[in-house]
Amino acid sequence: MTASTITQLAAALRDGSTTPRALLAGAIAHVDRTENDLNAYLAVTRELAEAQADAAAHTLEAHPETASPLCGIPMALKDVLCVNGVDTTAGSKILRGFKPPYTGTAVQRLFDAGAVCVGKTNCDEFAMGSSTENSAYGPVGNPWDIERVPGGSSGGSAATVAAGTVPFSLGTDTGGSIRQPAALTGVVGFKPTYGRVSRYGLIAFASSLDQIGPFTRTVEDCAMVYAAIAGHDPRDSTSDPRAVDDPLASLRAGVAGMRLGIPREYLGAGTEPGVRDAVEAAFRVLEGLGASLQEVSLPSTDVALSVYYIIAPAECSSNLARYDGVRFGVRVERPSLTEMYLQTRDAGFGNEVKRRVMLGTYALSSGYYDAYYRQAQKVRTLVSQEFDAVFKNVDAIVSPTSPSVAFPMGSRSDPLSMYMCDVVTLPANLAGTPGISVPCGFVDGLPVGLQVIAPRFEDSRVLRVAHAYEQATDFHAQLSPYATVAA
Amino acid sequence: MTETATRPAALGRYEVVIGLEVHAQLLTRSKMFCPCPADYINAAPNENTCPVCLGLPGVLPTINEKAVDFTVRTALALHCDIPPFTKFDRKNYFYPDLPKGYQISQYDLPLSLNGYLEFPVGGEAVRCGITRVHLEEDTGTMHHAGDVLQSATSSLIDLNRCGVPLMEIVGEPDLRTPEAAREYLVRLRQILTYIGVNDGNLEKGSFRCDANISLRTPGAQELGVKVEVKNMNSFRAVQRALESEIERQTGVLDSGGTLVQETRGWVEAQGRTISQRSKEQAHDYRYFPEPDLPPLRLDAAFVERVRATLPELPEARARRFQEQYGLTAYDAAVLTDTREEADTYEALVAAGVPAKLAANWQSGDVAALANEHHTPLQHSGLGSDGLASLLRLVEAGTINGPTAKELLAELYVAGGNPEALVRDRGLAQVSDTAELSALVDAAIAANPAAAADFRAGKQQALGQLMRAVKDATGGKADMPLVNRLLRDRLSEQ
Amino acid sequence: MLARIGLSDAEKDRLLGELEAILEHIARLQQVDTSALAETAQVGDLVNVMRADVPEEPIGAAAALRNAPVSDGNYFVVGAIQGAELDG
Repeated sequence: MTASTITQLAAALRDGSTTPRALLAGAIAHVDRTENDLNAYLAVTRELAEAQADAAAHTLEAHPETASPLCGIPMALKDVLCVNGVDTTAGSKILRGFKPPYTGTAVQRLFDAGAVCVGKTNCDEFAMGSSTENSAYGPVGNPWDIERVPGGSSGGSAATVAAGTVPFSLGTDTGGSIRQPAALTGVVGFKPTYGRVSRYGLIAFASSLDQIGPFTRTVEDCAMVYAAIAGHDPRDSTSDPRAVDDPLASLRAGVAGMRLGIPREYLGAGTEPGVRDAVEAAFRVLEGLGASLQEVSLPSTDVALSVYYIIAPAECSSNLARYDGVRFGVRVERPSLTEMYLQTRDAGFGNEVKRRVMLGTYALSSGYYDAYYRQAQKVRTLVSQEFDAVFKNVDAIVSPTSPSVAFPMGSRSDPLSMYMCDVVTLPANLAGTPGISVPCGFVDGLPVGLQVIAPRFEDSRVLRVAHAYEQATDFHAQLSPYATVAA
Repeated sequence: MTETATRPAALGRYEVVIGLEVHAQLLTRSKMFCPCPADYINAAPNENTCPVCLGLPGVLPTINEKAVDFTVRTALALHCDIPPFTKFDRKNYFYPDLPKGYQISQYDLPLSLNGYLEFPVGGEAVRCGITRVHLEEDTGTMHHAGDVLQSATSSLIDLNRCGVPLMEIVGEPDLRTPEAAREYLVRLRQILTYIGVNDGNLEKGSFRCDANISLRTPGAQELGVKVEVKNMNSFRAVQRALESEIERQTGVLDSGGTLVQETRGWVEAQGRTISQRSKEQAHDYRYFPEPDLPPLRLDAAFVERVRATLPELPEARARRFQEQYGLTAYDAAVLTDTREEADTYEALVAAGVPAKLAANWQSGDVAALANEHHTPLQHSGLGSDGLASLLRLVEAGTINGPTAKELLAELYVAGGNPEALVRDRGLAQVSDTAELSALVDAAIAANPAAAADFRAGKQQALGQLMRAVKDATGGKADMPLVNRLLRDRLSEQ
Repeated sequence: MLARIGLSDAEKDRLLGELEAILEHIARLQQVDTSALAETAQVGDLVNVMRADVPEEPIGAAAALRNAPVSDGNYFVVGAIQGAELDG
């Protein structure tokens, strides 16, 4: 059952050819086979999973028709998502041993649907990074080439789907942390509209940018998971009360007659030639499907990176103040409180987290607030306005997801070069629009992703474009070496 | 900008400038940003907590609508403007009683602005501007092992109070004397308790005050060096702390010294303030808009809805009591001191007790009993309905004053129906003229000397005769009638 | 230090160097004319999102304290507060 889709497994569960327990056992066996190389998991939650699998089996037997398509399906959760009683570290030393006394909303919705949680996946510490090298628990290997990074920050969630262990996982996307690793590992990764999926239970990195979304093998699976987790949550005041339209209803409507825009700035000088070729080929496929493509401009793309690297660190400097060694997590004991704070946070946080906390603290401090934070908030408005203007003329934007394919571990030690990974994904976070990455080719055996962005709340349109493209190609069906490792 | 109290301070060489900041907890049932019970006093430490107020990873705040309502209600009572757009901000600092490492508060766009509070001080009207009223969350509480903070080896943290809605009322530096400062607080607390948003308990800290005080040469436009005084747990402490601070600052200035901008704490036991923090150590709170909470747009309809819930405020009510019930300014002020007091009074009047009679009893014997038993009338055995029946018996002449007093004291504690009790115990006053006339004659016959003295012009001799009649009725005689009958009989030749 | 991270001198030097490079890159932001732009603190048009004042069952002290590095009875415990510079 390795590397199956949700759709395939849901059918198999209903025709009696498998059971939730069997799927779970298969998933855990695959973890055991691959984990040495991949390090995709921070915890395997066998006990929780077994209980969930048994409950799912019961539901499938009692109500096979009305049970959710996710019922009995194994899945994995990025370790920034809180699960009651289950170790949740956010990839940080400072949260080692932390067991939340509650379960977050999106996760609870999956549990309610009957999904089976195999484990918590590795990620960049507090979701800060683009390679998953910033995890306090070691880097994650890319299933296409374990010497290379899987992207980040949701690298573990991407890798485990790419390795065929589970058909879906949840990640979080603050500046591209779902879409970029999806591109680099050859799977589908979707960041919904900001406000569509509750952030309650998501360990915050940058509150105005964070959004939870799925990794899957197909766009159809992606739509199913999205449908299960989306919708208003009174515990998240920024979650939108508007009704969610069923993404499956329009999934097969195609792109004939659609106007698609290619932002000139998204194919800039930093784009690797192989990536450019693959994406341009994808544009021709879309044209062949009846879409009309045109070049558009998002002039502030370049400066959006600066906006992001002020707003995200500013919010994170505040969001991470709660890691003080008092109520949870690891404490470095010192006789004086001040020293305890200083040493706990020095020992508990990794370099990238420290960098961003300091950067954000600086951007908010008196004397610099106007020049940095306020200015960034204003330019953020500009970034949104440019999207609005473009969406007057096109229905969606198509572009590469990442300027590069998966790069070798350790090759981007300079923070700025790492930040450049997100240059075409982070504007969607600043504007709050939905965005997806769908496999669109390979460069020397390494996957390339096509990004689709639509206006806010047009999540279904993003999925529809991605689905049309996916169905016309077979890149999504190609399996990484780790997905074909036999039992 | 606003009129100010112009009375100079006791030490008249400098003009005293005082501005007060009040933090008042709101009487909501749940906390500000999570649905935990807001009652933090009657729960074991850390019992009333949840992931949100514990500041656990992954949680998000939600706004308590009632707290917004209460803050707007307060702002309207203080004549503030309610801007159409307001938002919450994060105030960032580290302290163990602040779990998130930031307090959700309001910075540049508070819920309300530009109000004032008017009140008399020493017969003169003072108007103190209100800069703003904004909404935030309270912190947890800390208990320090050892006597004082500085020598403690460890601290215990209780987060029950953490997240209780807290309103900050910032006053303009319009106050000129410690007495005015005290009066401002008395009035402010009265209004908050009147409109039902705060319980006004300084001791327990549900109503807290910090003061900013500076001295300057009279007539100077600029303010002097400002000192913030904290840790004052009673109105008296505020006045004393400010007096002591004026004395200290005057001393420094007179001896040619310079004051430093700092925060000082009032030490009640020593009767002085001590330095806690200098300006150099002041915080950079790095305020920024709270990304987890959408802003508020309070339209005119919302504001009007809240305005409609505002009760009559104490000052207006006292004025109306004078006009409507013919009370003196003093009685009206006493009877409108608290909303409960005023409501009781109006209930008595509505129940048929004459206004003056109700006022005398309520502010006299009833107030004394409430004080003695530490129980307000509403919670006494008698209740305001019982008091009304008792006073109706007095008004109807069914019982006399002394009997009523005795009954009041008894019923206040034990409860019971005054009418039934008067009937069962035969306490009704003797006011039958024929019966009393006979007793008057008997008293005169038994006390001939007193009768003679009175006839000779000694007014006080009447007392002995009155007592004799009273005793003969077991204290139940209608004494004004006895008085009249005695005088009539003794003036007969 | 506002961020309350106790860095070693070597760490401090390295971080400051990196931060300088990042700040230099970010400085291009200053060239954007933002005189006509409003600030975006959050995307979307939500306003007046409030909940009714209805209390819910808290999780209680035992659950609250379960993750605490140090606790005593019903309390979280921290070391001494030295001086007043931390005072909020």
